[in-house]
Amino acid sequence: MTKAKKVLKSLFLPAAIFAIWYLTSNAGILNTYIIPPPQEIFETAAVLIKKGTLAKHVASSLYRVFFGFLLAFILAFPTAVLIGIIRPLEDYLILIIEFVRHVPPIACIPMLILWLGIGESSKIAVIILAAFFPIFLNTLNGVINCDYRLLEVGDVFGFSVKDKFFKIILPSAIPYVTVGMRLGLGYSWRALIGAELIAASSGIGYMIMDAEQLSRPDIIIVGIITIGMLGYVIDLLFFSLTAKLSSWNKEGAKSWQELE
Amino acid sequence: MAGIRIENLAKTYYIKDRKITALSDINLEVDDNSFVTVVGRSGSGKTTLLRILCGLEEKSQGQIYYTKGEDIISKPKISMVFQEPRLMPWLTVEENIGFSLINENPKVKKRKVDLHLELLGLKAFKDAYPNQISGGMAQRVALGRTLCYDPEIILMDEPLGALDAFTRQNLQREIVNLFANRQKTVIFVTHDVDEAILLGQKVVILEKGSVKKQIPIDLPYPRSPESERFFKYRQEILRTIMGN
Ligand SMILES: Nc1ncnc2c1ncn2[C@@H]1O[C@H](COP(=O)(O)OP(=O)(O)OP(=O)(O)O)[C@@H](O)[C@H]1O
Ligand SMILES: [Mg+2]
Repeated sequence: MTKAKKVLKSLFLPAAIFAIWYLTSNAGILNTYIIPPPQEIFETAAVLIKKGTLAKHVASSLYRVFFGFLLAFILAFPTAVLIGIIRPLEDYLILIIEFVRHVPPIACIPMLILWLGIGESSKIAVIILAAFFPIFLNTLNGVINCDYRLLEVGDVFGFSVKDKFFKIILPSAIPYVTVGMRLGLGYSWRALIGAELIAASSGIGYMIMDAEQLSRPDIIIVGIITIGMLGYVIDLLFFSLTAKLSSWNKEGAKSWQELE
Repeated sequence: MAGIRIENLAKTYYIKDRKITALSDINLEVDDNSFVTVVGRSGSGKTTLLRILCGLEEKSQGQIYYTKGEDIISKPKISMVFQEPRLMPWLTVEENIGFSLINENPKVKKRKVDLHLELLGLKAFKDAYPNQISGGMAQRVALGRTLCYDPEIILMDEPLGALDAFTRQNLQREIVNLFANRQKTVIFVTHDVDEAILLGQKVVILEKGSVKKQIPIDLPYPRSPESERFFKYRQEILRTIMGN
């Protein structure tokens, strides 16, 4: 009941925007060349879907995001755990971490293209740059902030270092890790579109860029709507998949977006 | 089974350059399978003593021996129940009870966990998470977790300190029952004098980091705080703590 109400409330503003958009463009107030009317957008979307163009671009964007995100996780997670456990390492890495973390991935794209070409690897690299830090910093935070009182419980049960890591540190860091992954996923999605806008031969970013050259604002808008919707769906999907993992931790859920 | 012999134990902390003597010149004998309670004012060093005994803290001076009859043995299995339950919030009651049994055969583990769920009356709550149970229940789980680990020596640091009077009484009774027929050596810290007499075969009074007095309690279990002799013990302990 309340959930249905919530969904209805959230649909209110988008519906209003569409209505105003529809009315104003059909009444000739909006220049339909700059902003095509909604019905034209739907028609274009239908055509793109029917021809399979949209699916093709979406598929190649999604493939990049998941592959790049996976690599980012494989790199960021163990590094964070290692530094979290061997604290002196942080002193050696702090400057590099802080430096790279403040350079937006987009700014590196020209360099990446120079090194890796305009193929898949430069896109994947951008995604790794974007997703690495949220995963890394949140995991590190989770490992460092493990409650020493729980670790003492491990001590009084004669746990080895390995036991303490797998039975106490890791589980208590899980909510932080999933928050980091969720942020990282959002960041990589945005960074990827940026990369595809600059240099690509497929993907939603490319579709938008291509549409600009063809002066097809309708396709651009379809692209933008697809990006937003897919980003939201990916986030929801990830959240529902991981919510159970960290449901015991209410504070962790609150702290999301505080870091990075 | 193991007893403890503590000789000239001392512990000093340094906060900046200020020296804090938490324990000094502690001499204490805890017999095999005995239940010893430790009372003392806040800051008298009760927690520090337990933390040193179970290895959470280094001692500054002195010796700790573990004994079996007259013999000195190597450090036995020794564990601690903290003042707060310290349950793993991501594990259910059942999983928390079995937390210490990581390398145990699953079948044996299940049997032990079931036994302790039963023993502590936690069966109905076995699937609950720590944030879904009451404080008394949580402390019960913490106790069950330590019993499940089956140490020879159990240290308890005011495990009932945060509970209301009724829950406390129930758990005191349960603790008496649990340890009456178990081969365990227990050191139980409390600042509640009645609790100390109710549970202990010997009450150790700590003051400013030293043992001020040790009083054997010669009463059969279960004990009643209304009895004449209980009253006398209480008088004696209170007088010792108050210093007159
Ligand atoms: N980690 C520490 N660093 C410095 N001083 C400490 C530390 N732990 C304990 N102390 C000091 O040692 C003394 C004894 O503390 P302890 O916690 O053992 O007392 P307690 O008898 O358990 O008190 P309470 O009944 O309040 O729990 C206190 O003066 C305390 O300030
Ligand atoms: Mg204490």
